[in-house]
Amino acid sequence: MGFVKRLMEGYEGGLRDEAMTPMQKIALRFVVIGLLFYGLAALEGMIMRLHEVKPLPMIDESHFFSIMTVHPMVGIFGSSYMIVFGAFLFLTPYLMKKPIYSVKLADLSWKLMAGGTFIMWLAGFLFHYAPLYTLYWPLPVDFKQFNLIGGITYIVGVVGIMVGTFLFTYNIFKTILYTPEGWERQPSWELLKSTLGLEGLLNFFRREKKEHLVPLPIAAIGRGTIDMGLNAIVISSAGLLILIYFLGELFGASLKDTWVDALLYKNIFWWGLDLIADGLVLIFVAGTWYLLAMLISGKDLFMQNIARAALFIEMVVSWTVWSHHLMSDQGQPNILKVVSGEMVTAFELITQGIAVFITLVTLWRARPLKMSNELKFLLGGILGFMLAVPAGIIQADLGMNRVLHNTQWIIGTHVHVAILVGLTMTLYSAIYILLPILTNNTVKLYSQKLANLHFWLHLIGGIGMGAFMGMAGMDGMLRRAIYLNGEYNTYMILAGICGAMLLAAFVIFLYNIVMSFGVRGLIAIYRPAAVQTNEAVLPPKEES
Amino acid sequence: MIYGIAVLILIALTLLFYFTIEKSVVALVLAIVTIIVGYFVAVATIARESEGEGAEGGRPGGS
Repeated sequence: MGFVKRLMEGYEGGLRDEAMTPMQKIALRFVVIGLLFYGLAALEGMIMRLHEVKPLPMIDESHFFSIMTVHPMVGIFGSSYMIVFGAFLFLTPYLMKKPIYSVKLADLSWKLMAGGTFIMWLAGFLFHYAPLYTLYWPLPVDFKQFNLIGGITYIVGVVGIMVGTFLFTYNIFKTILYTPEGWERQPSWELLKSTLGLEGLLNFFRREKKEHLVPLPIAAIGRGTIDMGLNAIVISSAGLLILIYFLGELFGASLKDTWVDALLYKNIFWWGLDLIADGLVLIFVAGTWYLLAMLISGKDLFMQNIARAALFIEMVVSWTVWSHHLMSDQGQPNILKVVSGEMVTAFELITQGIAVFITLVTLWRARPLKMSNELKFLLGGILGFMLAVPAGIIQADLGMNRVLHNTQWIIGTHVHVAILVGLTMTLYSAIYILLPILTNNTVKLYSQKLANLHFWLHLIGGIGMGAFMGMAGMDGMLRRAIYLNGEYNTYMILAGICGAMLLAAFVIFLYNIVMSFGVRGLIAIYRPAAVQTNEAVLPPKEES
Repeated sequence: MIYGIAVLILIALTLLFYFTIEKSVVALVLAIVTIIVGYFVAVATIARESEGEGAEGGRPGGS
């Protein structure tokens, strides 16, 4: 078969979508768009890296910082959120063995998320809006530095993402709790208690333990979705605050003399943001590891009850951990620095350690296991968090924070290793394991050699980039700064080589996926499903 | 629907906190507790609206 024909039709006929349900298609739509945004974020990262080595002539300072502003937004909301949403909107009805509450809401969610991220990206690309991702107050409304229309465009994008997020949270909880038409009445309150972990907590005090109504991964999805909802409330309120100032300026009623306490804003904003960074990622990731370990091993999870309890504790930890972001703020009360910043943060080592231990023991007890793509990417993901979480604990120390705060260590060794190695490799594992379920086993992987190459390039590139950025940070290189005289060029060139490995890994993965699905198959994902059902998958046909 | 209204109220409330809280750890912690409790109430409205749905004797299902 010629290259062009294979590219169009895919490996062994590519994706055949006749029997695909709307939910299978929607999940794949989320994943495909999420992967494209990942590619965009990787390109942005490489452009910034090259600019750090030698300033690029076509990029001025304002453009550089606008890329830096949208880069994490594209990576987190456009890529990670999209892939997680797609997987969980499919897995919730699939694991609950009931139809999703609303296919229309699920479809609207991906459109809002993708559109919102693109609009936000445009604010940086067209208007160079660049108050950086933390949106430190009152920087976002500094009209001397930043374009007003650019700011409004940015907030419109944020609104799209947040509305998409709320639709996702509603759809997830409604699917768990509702009674489908013609079904026996579902115990909504009991299901809610089980999802949130209250039943598990009460079981500690009961002589006769009650059975859990929802499977463990659903408990993880439910608890992570609570953090996601809380985060969306905080980000929406920050967006609204900024918008009020924008609209005041636009209509000639400047609010520049009104006052919002910058430290209070920073506390509330970081409280909300950390619900993703520390809470949601660890809860969702732990739940995903448990599900992957069960699917890969074909066995029940080791220490199920402890795992449920750890998920509940992780939720409480995620609500109280934010102050490690404000350790170097002179005005931040010491009690918050010590209790929330140091003590609660250190506790993450325990909750994450429990998740690592349970996952690894579950896999160990099922050996010998074939080193499949899903298993090796899962192990890569675990390794990523085993490196990034201790790095976070190190910097959440009042002494070390004086040295490391605002340096490349934070963003390299901690953030990029957590997201690129820990989270992204876990998501790749989920993609590999869900691929046959989402495509009714019609798609065969084009090349295992390319999958192996993708794995090693991503793993070495991700860890290497984080390590060299961390070394630069230890030597004093700040984040969010441009060095014009090549002060840190050795580290930046080495980090750049690792970044190029990451980008090459993604291109190889994308090529492998396109060749597996075929261009026709990928287009078919975005055509309406021939089968009209709210079920996640069609029931298998009975043998006559 | 009620969930949406509850979420909008919580966003407005958080916005109010930005303008009203000044240099108080207690007020900050109370604001955070309010948002958490408020969101649990919002999620509980989904359980409440789901409670009345369905009928006895239908198809059994769920996990």
